[in-house]
Amino acid sequence: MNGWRELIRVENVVKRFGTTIAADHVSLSIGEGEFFALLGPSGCGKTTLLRMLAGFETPDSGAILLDGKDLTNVKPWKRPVNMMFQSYALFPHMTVYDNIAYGLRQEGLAAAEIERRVRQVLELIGLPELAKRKPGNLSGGQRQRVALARAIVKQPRVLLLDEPLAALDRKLRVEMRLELKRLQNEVGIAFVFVTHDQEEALSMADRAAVMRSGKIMQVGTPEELYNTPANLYVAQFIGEANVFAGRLQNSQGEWRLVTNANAYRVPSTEVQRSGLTNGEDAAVVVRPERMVIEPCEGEQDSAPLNRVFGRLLEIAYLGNARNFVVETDDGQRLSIQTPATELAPPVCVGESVCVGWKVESGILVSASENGGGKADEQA
Amino acid sequence: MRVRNWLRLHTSLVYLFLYGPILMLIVLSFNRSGLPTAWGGFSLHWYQELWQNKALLNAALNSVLVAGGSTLVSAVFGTLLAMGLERIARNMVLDAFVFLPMIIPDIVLAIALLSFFTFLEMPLSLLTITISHIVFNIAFVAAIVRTRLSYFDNTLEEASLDLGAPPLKTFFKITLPLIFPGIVAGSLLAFTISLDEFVIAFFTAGPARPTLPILIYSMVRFGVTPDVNALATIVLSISALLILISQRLGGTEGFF
Amino acid sequence: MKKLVSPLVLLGPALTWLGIFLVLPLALIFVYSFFQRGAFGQIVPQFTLGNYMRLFNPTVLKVFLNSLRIASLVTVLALLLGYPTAYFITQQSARWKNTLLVLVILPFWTSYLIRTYAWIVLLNREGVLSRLLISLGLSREPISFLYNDTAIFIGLLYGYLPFMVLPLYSSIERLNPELREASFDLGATPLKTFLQVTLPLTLRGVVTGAIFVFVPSLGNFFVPELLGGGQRFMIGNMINNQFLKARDWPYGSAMAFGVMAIVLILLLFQAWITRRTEQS
Repeated sequence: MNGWRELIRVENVVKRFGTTIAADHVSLSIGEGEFFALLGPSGCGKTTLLRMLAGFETPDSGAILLDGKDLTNVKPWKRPVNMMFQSYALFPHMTVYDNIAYGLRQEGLAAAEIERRVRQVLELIGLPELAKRKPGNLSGGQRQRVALARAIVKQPRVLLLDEPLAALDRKLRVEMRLELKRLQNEVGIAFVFVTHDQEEALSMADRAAVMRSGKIMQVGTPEELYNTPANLYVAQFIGEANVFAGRLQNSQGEWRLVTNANAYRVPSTEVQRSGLTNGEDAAVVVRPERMVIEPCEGEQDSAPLNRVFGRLLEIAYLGNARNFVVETDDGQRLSIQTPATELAPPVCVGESVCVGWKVESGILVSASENGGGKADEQA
Repeated sequence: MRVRNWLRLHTSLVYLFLYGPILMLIVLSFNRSGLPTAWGGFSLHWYQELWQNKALLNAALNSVLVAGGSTLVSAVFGTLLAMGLERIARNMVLDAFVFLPMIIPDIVLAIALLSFFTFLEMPLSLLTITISHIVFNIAFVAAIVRTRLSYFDNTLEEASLDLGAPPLKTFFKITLPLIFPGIVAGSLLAFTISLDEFVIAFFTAGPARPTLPILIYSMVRFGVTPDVNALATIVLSISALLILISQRLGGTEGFF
Repeated sequence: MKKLVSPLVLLGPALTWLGIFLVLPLALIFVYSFFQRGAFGQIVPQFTLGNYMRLFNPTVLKVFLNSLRIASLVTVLALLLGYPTAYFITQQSARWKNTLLVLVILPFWTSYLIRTYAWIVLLNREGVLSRLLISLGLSREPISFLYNDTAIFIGLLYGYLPFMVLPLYSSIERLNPELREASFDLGATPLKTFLQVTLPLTLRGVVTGAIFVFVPSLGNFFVPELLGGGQRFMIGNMINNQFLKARDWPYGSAMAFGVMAIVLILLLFQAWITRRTEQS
């Protein structure tokens, strides 16, 4: 992120629809040329935020700036911002060529210039031979590319994408992720996309904002979101998480999380990062792939491991990994993943097992979970 | 936005255009003076007058008989037709044929039927009107039941068959109850249309037993009389009521 | 179920009925239209093209053209009044939308005859409008607003306006709202968006509505009779006359097929438009 320069600034934006709040004092900066994701479950306000960037909704208060200029009350057709719609919104009565030329014609460009730019963008998306087709005669993937072409041909400062891959089938979706990345690199425009799919956000975005009930829970790179979530919500939304809730305690210089049944050691670096202090409610989050599972025998305290005991409920072979579901003695379910390339641990369904993780693999987050939360209990 | 306000004004005026004359009729029907401009106080006088008009009551009875008869037949035929159309591939020619009575000018249908009945030497009567009304009412019932059927989940019938109910039983236990609101809605609509239908009835009615619209036409041709206002109010109210019920049952949706 | 009951059993009763009471009667008057009228109004089964030739004599042609003119004007007016109304309805919340639609549907299905009568009450010499003008001092004596082309226009427009609004509403409603937003997003102003996106994509509704207004306007005979005083002839009155007064049924039948020819052309046009818009 060297040379990062702010392009869009969202300042304290509030938007209500009746009694529901879609944007609750949202502030955000997006950089030039950045690939930025707005990530969250449906109804979290991410699409509203995108539509406010496009100009289809006006904030109740707050401002949206582009290059330092206030865009808040600029009409959609006057903004240097273009959008790829979830339904693609290709004009069904126009050919692919006319669809792409539509925006350029509004600018009153000369026909030759329009032709040149349309041809160029058709090359870019790899569909030069489809210019004369109507959208009705295109496949889903082709439609998506045309919708993209129609928006980027205007050379906007920002391209907004509303669930860009949602309408595609799974295989195509994975392909298009790479394709979108490639296109974004090539055109150098900032992309802001909305998705509810964390895998999509992590795999494409330079940075992502995780949203919930109109609030931004955390903004960060995919690695930051995964490895250092700001709160329990983000920890659970991004990737799979095993959560141990309890109270943080410092005894003789060593930090522990004390739960009903157990006490787990917590790395002091995590305590520092989270800013939690002695006696606070907290949770330790452990990713499934950071856990190990073994039969319940042998010596019980190999030094750097936290341990918990339970019964193995289920083993699933996923091709690239094995997934184990364990029910702990106090009834919590844990998910453990080991690479399929390794030998399967010698455990059987129904038997007692021992689950462990290295102390430094534990992520410490506040259990009270700022940002207005329920969902602190793992269902 | 300025455009929105302009649209609102436009729409209000259009609704005023649609409802102004009707509301005026209703108000006048309660006017004791019987004059369109001088308010003589609220009165049910003109309604009582109607009640004593034998010819009118007879015509109303005729209309109900025609509407009832044509609705009964077209409810059955129209429902079966809709189910049949749903079961075969969409056929433009067949569709055009079935819904033809809805689109050809009624005067053409009227003279054709008049010629046909005359050719067969069938005396014109309530029966000939009823037969004629069935021709277009089938289309209305079919159109509405068909919309209903298009929402119908075919696997429900298959599930019933799978669970051991033979076709006829499946029809009465599963299909019919589910499309019944559509049939009722279509029938109410057909009844209303038939009740108000004038042109075809005018050509296929015998001289002795006119329907209500025919009688109204002859009254209206001789100018404005205050009792027609009362009659008009009653007829419009009944139609509106039937249509509202039909609408509630999902009747008029998906017509276009 | 699909395979268990033959569709023929289901289609049978209705198709038989329509075969006997729709196809045969139309076929009969088609045959009549090539026959001659006898001295006493009876039908003489002798082939002639004369009835169709007589459609082109100046008086008849004038009535046809006049009817076409009136029906076209009514259609255009209905479109101008109906489109903004339909558009406005689609923009409302679900509850208002429903209410407004029901209010359009109600007159659609209620007695047209009575609704025409309401205009007699409004427009006649002793009517509401005339009296109103007198009491406002704008006129000294009663004026009749009936018995002219304007009265016929109003009567037809009043009766068939809902026929325009409903198909327009459903085609505008079906339009994906993201298409309009996409157009705005690409830099088109609301007016351009309307002309380049909304209108072309609702053309089907426009054509359907236009036909639903035009065809019955063309064939209507009681509005010209009641509001036009029977002096201003439209095709419907002419056919009516041939059948009930002049008793020249062959000639009347030929006129009816003249109307049917016009209707057929319109329907083919509609099918063509539908196919064109369905392609996309």
